[in-house]
Amino acid sequence: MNDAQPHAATSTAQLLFACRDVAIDFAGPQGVKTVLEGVSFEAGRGEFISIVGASGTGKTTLLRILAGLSSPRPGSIVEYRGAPVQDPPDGVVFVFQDYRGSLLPWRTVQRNVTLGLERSRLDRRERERKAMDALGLVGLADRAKDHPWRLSGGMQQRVQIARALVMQPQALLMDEPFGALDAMTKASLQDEVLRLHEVTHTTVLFVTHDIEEAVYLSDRVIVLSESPARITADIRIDLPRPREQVATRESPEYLALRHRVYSAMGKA
Amino acid sequence: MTTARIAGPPVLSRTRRRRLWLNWRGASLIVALALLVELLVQTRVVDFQYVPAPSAVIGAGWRLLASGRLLSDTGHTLSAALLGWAIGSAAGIVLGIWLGLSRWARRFGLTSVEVLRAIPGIAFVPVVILIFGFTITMEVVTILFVCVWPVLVNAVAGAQAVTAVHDDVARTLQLSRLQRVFAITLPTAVPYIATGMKLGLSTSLALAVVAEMVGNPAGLGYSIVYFQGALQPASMFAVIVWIGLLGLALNLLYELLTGRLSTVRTGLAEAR
Repeated sequence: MNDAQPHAATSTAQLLFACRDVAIDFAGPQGVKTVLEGVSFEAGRGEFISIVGASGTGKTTLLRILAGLSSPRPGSIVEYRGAPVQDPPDGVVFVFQDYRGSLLPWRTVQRNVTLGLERSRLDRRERERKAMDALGLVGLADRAKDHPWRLSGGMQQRVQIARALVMQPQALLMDEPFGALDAMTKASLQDEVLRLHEVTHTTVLFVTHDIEEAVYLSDRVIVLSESPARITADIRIDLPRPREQVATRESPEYLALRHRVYSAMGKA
Repeated sequence: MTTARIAGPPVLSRTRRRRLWLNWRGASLIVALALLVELLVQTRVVDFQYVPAPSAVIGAGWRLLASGRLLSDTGHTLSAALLGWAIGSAAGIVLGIWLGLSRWARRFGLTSVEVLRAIPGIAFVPVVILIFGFTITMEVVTILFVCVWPVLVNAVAGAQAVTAVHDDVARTLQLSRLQRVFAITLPTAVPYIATGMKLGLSTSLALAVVAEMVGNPAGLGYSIVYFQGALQPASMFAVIVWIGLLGLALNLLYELLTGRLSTVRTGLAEAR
């Protein structure tokens, strides 16, 4: 399949992430299990890339390796802006699937958002102003003084996104961020993320098991096979932007791309 | 002395709030029992020389209160108990968080903690008397040595209760070690520490009384011994009942103060 050819980023100067032969093993009750094997791809600055695959294939693990939260098998090459990733690199922020568990319940929404700014030299007023700006971007400025548990699931995930945005990241690594949300909330958050991507030009790596979501959002969709996970397809999604929930999803190009991703996953 | 319990998951139920209200049925049983004892003593069915009738105890208590002696003794005992409790809790929090965070500290320190806290606090009273004499310092030291353990053990558990996701959040936001402690570890440990401090609070009053009975001749504990020696059982019982009421009041006060703190968590539990 030609789809397996990785797309080279336009030029090395614009390269943000580079992975070569990334592998990882987990020790389990049935001995060592290889979760990822020979995963290679590059992500350019400003790209929106989705990583899809059946559940349990290692999509999250791959994202955690890029974020410096998990260590791959020695010999794997993972680089962010040309430097090997060991600890979480500057400018890379992870957005967790478990939004409720990732917020600090004892802090207000605003103080959750300032959390990442507290080691900077900004004074309190400046931090709070930035937090309000970020909350404004996700439409939650009026809930700044509430505690997270007063908010709906979709709003809590927005808070987590604001907490990431306030760091002005080069790359957002989002791990099934909308997996636990209802269809309506999911659609509105998808559009919100697209809008934020357009405004901030942040690179987004987006893990999901929802193929429609991946095609709708992305510039590229990377398909992982099942265990051990390898990249079986890297499909460019050249749908025009801005995208629109109804029009885009009804266009023949969208349907054709959706078909290709489904085939790559062996589901069509 | 007290077995230091480890706090359960930090979820407070509604019954906790309800417990602050007076339970009338429970109170009526106490009154009924007191009346029964009164009856038995007055009719001489029970006839010990030194078992006074409840009415005599109330009378003696009233006289002690009116003379001001009960209040000044209470002041002494409470200051010793609260001071020992505060210092012991502070030490327990600092040491407990440190042990909870550092595997190295746990490897070296936990054995000592287990051995030391297994020794009943009262066993140290003679030693403390030798070192500090018959002073309030002796009381405070005895109390703090007992109060430190439940707080310490719970703080260790609390520091280790930080979730994996919160750990990852701290890493991806690149918080410094100190920031993690103050922004994540301590707030996570608060409900555990509060449980430990509550256990310590009731122990502190008990140890203050013991320290005054065998050590420093002052306060409520000494009053019990004094009235025993003076063959005034009614006054003796009055002091004992008073100490019980004091303990009750302390617990109630603590619940009221920490109840405010825990509203966030109650809300969290309800949201789940």
